[in-house]
Amino acid sequence: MIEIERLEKTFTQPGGERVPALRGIDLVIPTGQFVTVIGTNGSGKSTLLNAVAGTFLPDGGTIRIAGIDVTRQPEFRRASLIGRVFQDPFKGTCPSMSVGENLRMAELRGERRGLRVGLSRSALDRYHELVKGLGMRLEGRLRATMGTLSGGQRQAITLLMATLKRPQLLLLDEHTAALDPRAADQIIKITDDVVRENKLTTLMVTHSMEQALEQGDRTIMVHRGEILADLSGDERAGLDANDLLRRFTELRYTVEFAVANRPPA
Amino acid sequence: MTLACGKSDARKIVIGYAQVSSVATLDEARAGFFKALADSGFVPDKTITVIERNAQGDIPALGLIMSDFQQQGVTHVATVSSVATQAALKSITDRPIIFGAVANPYVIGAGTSPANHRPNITGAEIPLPVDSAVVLAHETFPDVKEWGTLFDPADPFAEFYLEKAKAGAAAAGVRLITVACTGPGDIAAGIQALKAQGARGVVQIPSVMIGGAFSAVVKSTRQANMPLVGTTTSFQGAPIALGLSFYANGYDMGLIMIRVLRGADPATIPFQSEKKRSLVVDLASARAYGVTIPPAILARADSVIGGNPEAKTSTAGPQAITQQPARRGNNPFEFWLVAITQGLAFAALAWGVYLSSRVLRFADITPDGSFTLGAAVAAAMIVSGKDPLLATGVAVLAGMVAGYVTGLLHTRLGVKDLLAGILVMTALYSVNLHVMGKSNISLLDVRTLVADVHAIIPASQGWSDDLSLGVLFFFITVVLGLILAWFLRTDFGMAMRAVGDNPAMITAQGVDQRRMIELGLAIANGLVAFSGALMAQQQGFADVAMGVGTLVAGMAAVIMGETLLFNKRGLGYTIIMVAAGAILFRGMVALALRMGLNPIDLKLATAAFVLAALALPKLRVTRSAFRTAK
Repeated sequence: MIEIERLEKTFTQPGGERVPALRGIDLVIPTGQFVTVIGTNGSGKSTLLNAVAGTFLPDGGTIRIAGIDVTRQPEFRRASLIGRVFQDPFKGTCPSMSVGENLRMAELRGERRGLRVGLSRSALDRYHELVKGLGMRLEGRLRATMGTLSGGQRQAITLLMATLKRPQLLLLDEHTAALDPRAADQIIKITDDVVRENKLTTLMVTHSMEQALEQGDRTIMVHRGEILADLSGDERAGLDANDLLRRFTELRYTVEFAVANRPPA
Repeated sequence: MTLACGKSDARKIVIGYAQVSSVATLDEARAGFFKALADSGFVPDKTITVIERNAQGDIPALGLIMSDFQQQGVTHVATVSSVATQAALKSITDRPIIFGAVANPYVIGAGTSPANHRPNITGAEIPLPVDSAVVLAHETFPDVKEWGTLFDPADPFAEFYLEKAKAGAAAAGVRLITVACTGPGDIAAGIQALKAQGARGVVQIPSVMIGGAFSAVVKSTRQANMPLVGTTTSFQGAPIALGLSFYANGYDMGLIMIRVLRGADPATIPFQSEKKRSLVVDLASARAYGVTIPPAILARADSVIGGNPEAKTSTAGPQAITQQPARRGNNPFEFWLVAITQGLAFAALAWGVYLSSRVLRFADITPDGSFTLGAAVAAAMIVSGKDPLLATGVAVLAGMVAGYVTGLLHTRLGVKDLLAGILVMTALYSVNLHVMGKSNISLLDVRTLVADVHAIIPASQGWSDDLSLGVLFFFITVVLGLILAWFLRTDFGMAMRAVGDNPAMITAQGVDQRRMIELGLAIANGLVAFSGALMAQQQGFADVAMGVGTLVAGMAAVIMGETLLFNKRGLGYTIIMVAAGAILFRGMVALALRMGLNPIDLKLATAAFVLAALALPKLRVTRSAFRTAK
C-alpha cells in the first residue's frame, strides 16, 4: 500500500519566482492497484512521480511505501522498494554495458553489491528465459551492448529490469511517449502483462486519454499540483477518451475561474 | 610579538637564515656556517636568535621569506645559494646580507669586483673549478674524446659554467656536447640524448636542480656505460670528482658574519673566494661503472673512499690503466629494456587514469600529486630501512587516501571535479615534501624491489637491475590487469562502471553514486601511487617535481590504447590495450630520444604523439570515406 499525505513542493525558478508544483496531494493506493495519472504539461504529474521516487525531497507531507516512511530517504535508499521506467529510453539503462549486465544490476536493486562476478552462466540462462518472454526476439542479444538496441527494445528491457526484483511500487513516467506507435503498443502490452502477472502496485503517468482509461483500475487527474478528479469502478468504466477529455476540460475551467476570482491574499 | 621583542632590545642579534633547497652542497655550507658561529660563541637560541627558512625549491617563496625577515625584525640576513642571495638583494637594502655557496656574485649583481660591491652585502663565493674538472676527466679517461654535460636553462650560472667547461675542453683537446634539461624527470632522457649525440662520458656542471637529483645522473650514466666526473665533491656516486669544499665555504661565510656581528661594515669587507680544491676518488663507484682510476690520479687524490684491498692491488697492476670491458650499457637491448620497464611501471598509472576518466567519467587531476606521493612514501620508507614491498604497499594506501579526499570534496562539499583534483594536487606538494623531508631522495644502492626479485628468483642474481625490475614489473602488470578485469566484472565493479555510464539509472537501482565516486577515485589514485612507487625504484630517486605531467602521460597511454583497440570492444581487450598504450608511449619517447631529440622538446613530442593517436582513427575514417565516395 502507498500512502501519500499532504504532499507539498515549491520550486524556485532561476529568476527567484516561486512555483508551487504540489499543493497538498493526498493519495492512497491499495496493494496491487494500477493507477493512471493524467494532466497537462506542468500540472505536477511528473513532479508527483519524482517526489515518490525521491529525485528531490518534498517541502511537507509524508510518503509511506508498504508501511515504510520514505519521506526523508534519499533516492538510492528507497530504490529497494521502487521499480522505475523513464520517458527517455536512454535514461533507464547503461548504454555501454551489455543487456545481461544491465539485467544483473537491476536484479540487485537495493541490495549489497559484493565482489562476486554475478553475471554467471546460470544468471544468463535465467535472463534468456525472461527476455524471451518479452516476445521481442532479444534473447539472443544478452551480450550485445545496450546502446545497440532501439528505443522500444530498451524500454522493454527497462521494464523487465524494473520488475526483475519485485518492487513494492512500479513507477511509469510516460514510458511510451518517446516511441513510435507500433513500439508504444508493444510496450503497453508488455506493461499490462507484467503488472497483471506480478500483481504490482503501479503508478503510471500518461498523456494519452485512451491509455489512461484502458490501462489499470483507477485514473486520477492532476492540475496545478492538486488532484482534480479520482475515477474508479463503474464511473470510470462508463467513460471513453472523449468523455474524459471533456470532463477534464470542464474541471480545469472551474478551477481556473475560481483562481481568477479568488480575493487577493 | 616577535616584532615587539626585536624592538625592545636594540642590541639583540636576530639572524635570518635562508636557503633555497636541501641539496647536499647547500646543507654542507649551512653546517660550516653554523660551526663557525658556534666556534666563536654565537650559539642559536642561546646567545643569538636565528630564524631559519628553507624554500624547498619554491623560488618565489624566497621573496616572501625576505619580507617575513623584515617583519620579524631580523638584524642580519644570511643567504646560502645564489637564488636566495638574489632574493635578498632585491628586497633587503637597510641591513647586512652575508652570502655563501654563490658561484659568481657578479652575475647576480652583488658587485663588480671583490672590493667594489653593494654596501650592505658581502660573503664567500665558491667558483667551482669546472674547467679543471674537464681536464681531469680527460687525464683519467684518455680514451674518451667526447664529453657531455646537462645544463638547467633556468639556472643563473648555467652559462657561466658552460663557458668554463668549454674552456676546459679546449685546453684538453676534447669535444664538449651539451643538452638542456628542465626537470629531474628529464635527466635520464638527457643522458640518452647526450649519448645519441656522440658523448662517451659525462662531466656534470654544477646546478641546484640537477645536483638535487644527482642520483639520477649516476644511475643513467652507469646504465649508458658513460664514466661520470663530478664538479662538486658533495654528491656521491661519481667515480671521480674535483670540487671545492662547500663546508669550508660556509665556514668562511660564518667568519665574515662574525666580523659584521662585531661591528664591521660589510661595505669594507671584500668578497672572499674559496680556493682549496679537493679531488675525491670513489673506488666503489668506479667498480660500479666498471672503470679503473689510473694510479697517477689516485696519487693526487685528496681523499679516496669506497676502497677495498682487492681494488688497491689491482690498481698497482699493469692492466689498471686500461678501461675494463663494459659490463652493460653497450647492449642495445638494455636501452629498450629500460623503456619497456618504465612502460610497465606506467601501466598502473594508465589504468588509474582509465578508471577515473573513462569508467567514472571524472576529470581527476589528482594523479599529478598522487604519483609523486607514491614515489615519496615508498622512497622515504625504503631509505629508512623498511621492506620495499611494505613501502610500496603503504604508497598505494597513501594514494588511495588522496583520491578518496578528492572524491569527498566533490561529493560532500559540491566542489567541481576539476577543482577538487587541483586542490588535492596542490596540497599534496606540501605533503610530499613533508614525507620526504627534502625535495629529492636517492634510492641508489639501497635495498629496493630488485632485492626481492633476487630472493624469489635465485637465477636473477646475475641479471642487471633493469632486467630484474622488468621481469618483476611484467608479472605485477599481468596480475594487476587480471585483478582489474575481474573487479570491473563483479557486482560492485559493474555498479562503478554504471556510475560513469548512467548515474540516474544506477541511483534508481539503489546505488549511492557518491560512495562509488569516492571509492573509485581511491582505487584510481592507489594505482597511480603504485606506479609512482615503481617508477621511483626504477629510476633510483623520488623527486618532489616528478609528478608534473603525470596526468598527460596517463591520458596519452589511455588514448593510444583506445586507438590500438581498432574498434574492438570488451573490458578485457580495453584493459590490455591501455597497458599496451603505456608501453607504446614510453617506447615512442625512448625512440625520440634515441634519434637525438633534445629533451627540452620532449613535452612537445608528447603532445604530438597524443595528437597522432587521436587523429589516427579519424584519418582512417576519412580515407575509407574518400574511397567509398570515389
